[in-house]
Amino acid sequence: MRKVLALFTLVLALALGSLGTAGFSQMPPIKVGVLAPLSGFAAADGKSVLTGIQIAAEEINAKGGILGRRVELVTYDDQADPKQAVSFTRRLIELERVAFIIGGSYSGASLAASPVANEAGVLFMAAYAVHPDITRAKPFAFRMGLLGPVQGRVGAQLVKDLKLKRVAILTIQNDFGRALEAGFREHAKKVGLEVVFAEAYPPGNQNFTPLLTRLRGVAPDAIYASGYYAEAANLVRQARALGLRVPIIGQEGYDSPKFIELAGPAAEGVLLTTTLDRDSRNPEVQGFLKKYRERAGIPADMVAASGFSALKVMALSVEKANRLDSEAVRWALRSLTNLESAVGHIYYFTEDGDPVKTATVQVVRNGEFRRFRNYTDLSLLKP
Amino acid sequence: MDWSTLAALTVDGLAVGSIYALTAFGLTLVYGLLRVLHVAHAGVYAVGAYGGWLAYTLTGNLGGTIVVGTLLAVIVGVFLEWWFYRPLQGKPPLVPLIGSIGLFVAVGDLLRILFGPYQQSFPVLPPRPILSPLTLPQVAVVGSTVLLFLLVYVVTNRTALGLSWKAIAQDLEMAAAVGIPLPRYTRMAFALASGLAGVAGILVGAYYNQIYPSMGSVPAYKALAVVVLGGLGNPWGTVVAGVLLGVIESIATAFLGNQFPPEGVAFLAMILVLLFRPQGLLASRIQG
Repeated sequence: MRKVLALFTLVLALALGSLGTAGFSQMPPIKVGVLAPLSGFAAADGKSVLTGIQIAAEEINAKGGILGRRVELVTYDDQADPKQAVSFTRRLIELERVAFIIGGSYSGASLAASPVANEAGVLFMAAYAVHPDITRAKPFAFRMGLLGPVQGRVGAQLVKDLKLKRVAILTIQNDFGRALEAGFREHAKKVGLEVVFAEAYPPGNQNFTPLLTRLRGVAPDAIYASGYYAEAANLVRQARALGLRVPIIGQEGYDSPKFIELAGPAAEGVLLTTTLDRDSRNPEVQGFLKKYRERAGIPADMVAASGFSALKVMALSVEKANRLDSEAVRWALRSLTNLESAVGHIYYFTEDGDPVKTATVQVVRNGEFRRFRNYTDLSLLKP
Repeated sequence: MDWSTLAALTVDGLAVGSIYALTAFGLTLVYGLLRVLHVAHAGVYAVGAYGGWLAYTLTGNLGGTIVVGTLLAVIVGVFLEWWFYRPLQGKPPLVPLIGSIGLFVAVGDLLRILFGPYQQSFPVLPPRPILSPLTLPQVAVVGSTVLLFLLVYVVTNRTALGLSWKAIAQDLEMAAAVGIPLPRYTRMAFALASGLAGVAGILVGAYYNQIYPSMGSVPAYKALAVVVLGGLGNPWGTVVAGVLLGVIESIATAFLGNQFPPEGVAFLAMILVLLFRPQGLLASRIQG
């Protein structure tokens, strides 16, 4: 009797199980690993990127999944900490046996995670981290975002295009800031800008008044300042309070509705190089912006759009390869050209796995990010 | 360096130093009476900031913001004394110290669970220039700190309560023997310390227009350095050390920039003081 009951339970469980995945084949779901800083100083970005990835997963599943299999996200909170990123990457690969990993974290953590995945032959797609070494010489590591040095170059080109010459640089002292500064300086030299002031500040810094007070003394035409939204808000606010009226040029670290909220009126007119163009007519962009707002109740940011695009590009590559084998998917990804994503037009992926893609400059106007201009010049955008 | 730059840096340093002084004062007061390092004090500071922010978002009333934030900090501080430090009296000092660190982490995480990990804006003090190089937030921070310390001076030097605190700090058993009600008076010290920390939290949140769950982390360790600089348990030495540290940090950050991390200034100063002047910058009055 007991045996019969057990058998009956088993059958029932199987029946219920298959009911739950109605519409999908009997094959198990494809597990996708996600690393995101859901707590700690980068928690706002962590939440954004995860929401973006979740929207992509829902969109993919609604259209029948990848290779007819449902996408299942396995998320770990790496707190943007390299040590945690390494151990969670191992976990995702060895314990969870994920098909590939979306790196939704900062440069430091992604820089630690990507070699682990690469060595195991598991594809790693960094959603928005900018440091070149995340992908360099790692055949299985790719990136969705704009490379730091490229973005730095776009910043310098913007200063040039604004017909300004003397520029002050304030750099956040980490992998993100250093990558941006390197690109900015390289291109500044090329187009004849004069760097009249350069300082760095530690991540999490709140008081910029000392550095800005000295910066004011050299009277630059523009300020190029890297940092994330929390630092950037203080930087911009204090610069304006000190009476510095020159253009402030930021980069994608500013790209969050939180920046506008925290900086208040001081955010108006701030320019930033990023990849999410709110005024794009592309349905991929507009569709995402709408879905994000419906789901999160706040406007989308670059980080969310990057996470969304990262999973969609990976899904597309798997479909194209028609199997999950990393080697095949890698080649399929490399062969993608002229792709419209939520974070710009991707011309192609380089040998290192970095996208050659358009960049946008957004400006804060009436408390919203708006398009200032787009850069499509390949000689500027190629890594 | 020209004078206007130096003046601007000094004003900025005074504002930052005022916050250090307000936070560290309570720490040193508690240390003087109970001989424990109240690390969770920085948690009380964050609670004060959140209380103020909550009141401001709900009512938009500046007076209410300060009252609610300060009161909440006082309640939490006094509660910690009653529930945590009082039962641990007489235990080796490491026990309350370790517990206090744990409490500090718990308070930060509780705030994160309740209000989310985000920085919240707290736009009470718009960063308007008043009289170059002064801005409204700077004047507000320095002004309220001066007022509060005048009040504290009266309490500590002109009342029986202040006299009793000095007696307890000098010799606990003797103070008890002459009939000073210890639990009640240490609780009042916690109330004053926590109130000041709460105001400091509100001021810092308004100054930078940001409050967040882990906002107590930097004050938690910096206040320790300030307390050592001022001479452990010496309240007015702590105030001087806090303000001085703010000004030195501001000038050092401007001119050393990335060659020397600004966060290191406090600890370099602390090491030097421990090596050459372990009694603190000002000779301790209370410990004699």
